Amino acid sequence: MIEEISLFGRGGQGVVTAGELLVSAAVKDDLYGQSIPFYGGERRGAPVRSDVRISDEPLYLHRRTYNPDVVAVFDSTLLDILKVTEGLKEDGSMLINSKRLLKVWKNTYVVDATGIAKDLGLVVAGWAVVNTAMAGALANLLHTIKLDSLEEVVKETFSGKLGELNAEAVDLGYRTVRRVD
Amino acid sequence: MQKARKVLALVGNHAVAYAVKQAKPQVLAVFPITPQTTMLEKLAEYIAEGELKAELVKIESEHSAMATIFGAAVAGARVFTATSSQGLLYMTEMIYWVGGARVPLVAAVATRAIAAPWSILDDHHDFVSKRDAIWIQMMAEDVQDAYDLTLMAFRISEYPNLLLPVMMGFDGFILTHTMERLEVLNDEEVDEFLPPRKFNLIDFEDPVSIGQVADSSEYIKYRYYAMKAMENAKSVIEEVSKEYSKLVGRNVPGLVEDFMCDDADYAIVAMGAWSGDVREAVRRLRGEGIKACLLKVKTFRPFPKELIRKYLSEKKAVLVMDRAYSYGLGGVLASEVKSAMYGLQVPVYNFVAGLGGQDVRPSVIVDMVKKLHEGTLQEEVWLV
Repeated sequence: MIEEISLFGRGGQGVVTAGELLVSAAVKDDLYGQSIPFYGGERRGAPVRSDVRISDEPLYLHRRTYNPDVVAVFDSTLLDILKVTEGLKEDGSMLINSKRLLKVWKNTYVVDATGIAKDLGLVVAGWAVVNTAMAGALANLLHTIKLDSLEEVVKETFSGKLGELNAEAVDLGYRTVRRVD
Repeated sequence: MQKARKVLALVGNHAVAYAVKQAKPQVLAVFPITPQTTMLEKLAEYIAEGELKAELVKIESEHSAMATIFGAAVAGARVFTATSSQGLLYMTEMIYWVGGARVPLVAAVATRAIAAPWSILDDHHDFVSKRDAIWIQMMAEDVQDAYDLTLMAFRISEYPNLLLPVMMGFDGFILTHTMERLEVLNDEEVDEFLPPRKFNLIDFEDPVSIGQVADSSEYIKYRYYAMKAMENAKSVIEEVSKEYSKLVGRNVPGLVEDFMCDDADYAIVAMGAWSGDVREAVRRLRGEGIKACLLKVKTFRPFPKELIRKYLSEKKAVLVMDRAYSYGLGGVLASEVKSAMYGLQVPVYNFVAGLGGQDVRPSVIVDMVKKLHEGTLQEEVWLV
């Protein structure tokens, strides 16, 4: 069993960290994972991408993901700029950070990660830190990620109060993600 | 009972920093350069938190970084540095000083393309350009391998009377910034594998000058002994690989690793992270009835020519994957493999790809071997 996920967002949204949190959660559950960020010398606000691969068997590949099972878009304005659905499996899922019910794929899901982050005060230098809510929503869509393990990893990664708030963002993301019909 | 080992999820740079911390070097001198920088940051964090008691010397360049640890290593300290690409080039003069003076120390190279044009992404040009500097050069396939090789590098470099520096290469971004699962040794286990460095290059009671002038009758002798040392290094690497494999309970080859080569008609020779993608290509080819295999080069210097010749002598053909090119000749690894196979009637093909961070999919490798099988592959192919 192998799941591949492509994460698209903007520099400063925590896209790379989201991928690392998912992999750390998978490893906690004795699975194997890779978080493969793509760097082109980006700055804050520029489009960024990170790929994630999770498996119950050791991973050898180091290529990028070309046919992901899930695509997650951290900023819906990227839908007009990037071909985020390119290569997405036909029965794969698209997750968008959006308040509105956008539908861009057969299986489309939305979660208001920006709203969750703002409500919890997870804002850094004017940027809503949406990655933990997005990771929570992804944990709901993926077969390989357990919510409890993800929350544990988040609490280990961010210490104290920040850890609690981010774990809550994970939980809210997990519970409020909804399918667009 | 032995303490259970930790299983962690770390990016390559942090895995190497973790191994360095466990190796307990006394002096570090590292200048930041992408994609190595996050390793330096992690090491500085370990020192700030008191987890690593080492002096991190703040230097103004890679040249000075190597000069600093050269001096510290001569004085008897266990030392470490790391760099990439332009930084490695800038360090080059001191790299030759360290190799020529036979100073045991360890440097990690997060491989990266060389300008121009500018690129921060991976290829092997920086790493292979140091092949004649009298350094042992090893290259990792994945994050676990980078951790393992870092610990082995210290052991090899400090092996009694070997007196050679070791360069541990691992692919920039593809490994440095990719998070993977790995198992780390307990600190006590590393302490046993790497006891404090006890030997010195100079006797403080009877000091000597290192790097003095050698006249024409002496100079060649130094280089002759360096040649001998590099030949001896092969058996040292094998021995340390066995010792380390026993310790970790996994097979961690030192010179080369073969994957399904016993009955293979075609061998794919590769070095570094894309060896894993070659494994996948080998599986797919076998699924279609084409008997392929991977021969992974882990040690680039000394080049394990005897083993390579042994593994490849009976093959129908060999495909060498190159992430570095010697302009005006051919792929660097392919040239080395051809030299090792001198006199054998086995054709060697060269696939040049992955330069400047180009992503190479297993399907592309599969196509190459299929063409080879059909007899339609050109001797040298670039993925452009």
